[in-house]
Amino acid sequence: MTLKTRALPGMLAVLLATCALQVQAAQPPDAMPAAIGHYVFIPASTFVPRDSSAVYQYVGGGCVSAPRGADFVHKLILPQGSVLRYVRSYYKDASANTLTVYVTRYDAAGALVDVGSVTSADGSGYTSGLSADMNYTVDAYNQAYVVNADNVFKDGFDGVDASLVFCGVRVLYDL
Amino acid sequence: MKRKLVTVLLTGALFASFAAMAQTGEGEGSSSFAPAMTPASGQTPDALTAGSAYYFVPASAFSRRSSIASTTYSGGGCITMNGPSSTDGALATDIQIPDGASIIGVRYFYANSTASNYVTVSITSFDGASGFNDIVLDASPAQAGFGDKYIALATAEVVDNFTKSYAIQAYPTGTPIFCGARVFYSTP
Repeated sequence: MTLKTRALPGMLAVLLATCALQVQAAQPPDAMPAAIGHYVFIPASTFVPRDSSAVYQYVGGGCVSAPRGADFVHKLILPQGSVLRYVRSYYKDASANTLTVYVTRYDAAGALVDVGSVTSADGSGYTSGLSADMNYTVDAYNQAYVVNADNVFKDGFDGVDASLVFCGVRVLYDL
Repeated sequence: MKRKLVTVLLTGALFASFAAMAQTGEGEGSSSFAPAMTPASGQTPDALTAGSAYYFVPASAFSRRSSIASTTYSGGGCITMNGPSSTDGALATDIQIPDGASIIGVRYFYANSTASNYVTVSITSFDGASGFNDIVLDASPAQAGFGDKYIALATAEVVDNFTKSYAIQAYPTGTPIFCGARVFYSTP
């Protein structure tokens, strides 16, 4: 009985450590690292179309869709020296076409580089997809940054029940 | 007694108009919407103090939620919202404030609001899967010329940028002039 009582704290510690490891392993790669990680979460309804001729519709819940295809953009203002890590795209893709979200940088002289991207996968419900680790250090002096949602809504538009819906993005960066 | 009856009727009408607004899609129509707290008279409830901050966006920097929304720049950062008088005529801008900050209220700015010509402003959160919550929703009062109104949240919203995105939204009824909104929050 005494042995069991003495052994209990040790066993409990092992159990807790195992649980902690399991929780850590179950975390997505864009879970916020303690103290250094920050999110920018942007609803699709606050993006702007890159062309004024774009036709698009609000479908509720911060989500938008477009009947003939449209490219949307939103500025990404990040602190100098911060490190871009992941972009997560939120969408519903019940369509043959795809939504691709890019984090893009521009030099304001016509050059661009896509720092990271994520493409939608087919499915019937609302979901999200994650980019690879961008691990890119922000240089706000020389580069402007945006999130582009490109060439995405080529078909399946039928009012509020659109088959390809863009709901927003969440960017993780480290300071 | 008569005055009490009038007060009761007016209060009822006010809540009925909010309910009608939610049902007709004037706002996002969240069932969890709670009427805003009225600030104490004689105070400036959103005056800056230590530990508080503003997130101020002019209407001209808002984006159209739908391509059929029609707007005209009115000068001074203000926008004439030409409709349609529905959610399709709405403007929106994202809110980016730090995790753990508490949104206390919002002051919005408008012009030429009348009984049939007004702007409804909300702060709304989204979960990325079409879910939403109108944290606060309010319609501009009838007032000629420029005006502003501060609405305090019934319960402060603690910002969680992991699970939610946030936006300020403005919906037209008629053709109001919207000049922007200033979110008041406490820093974490």
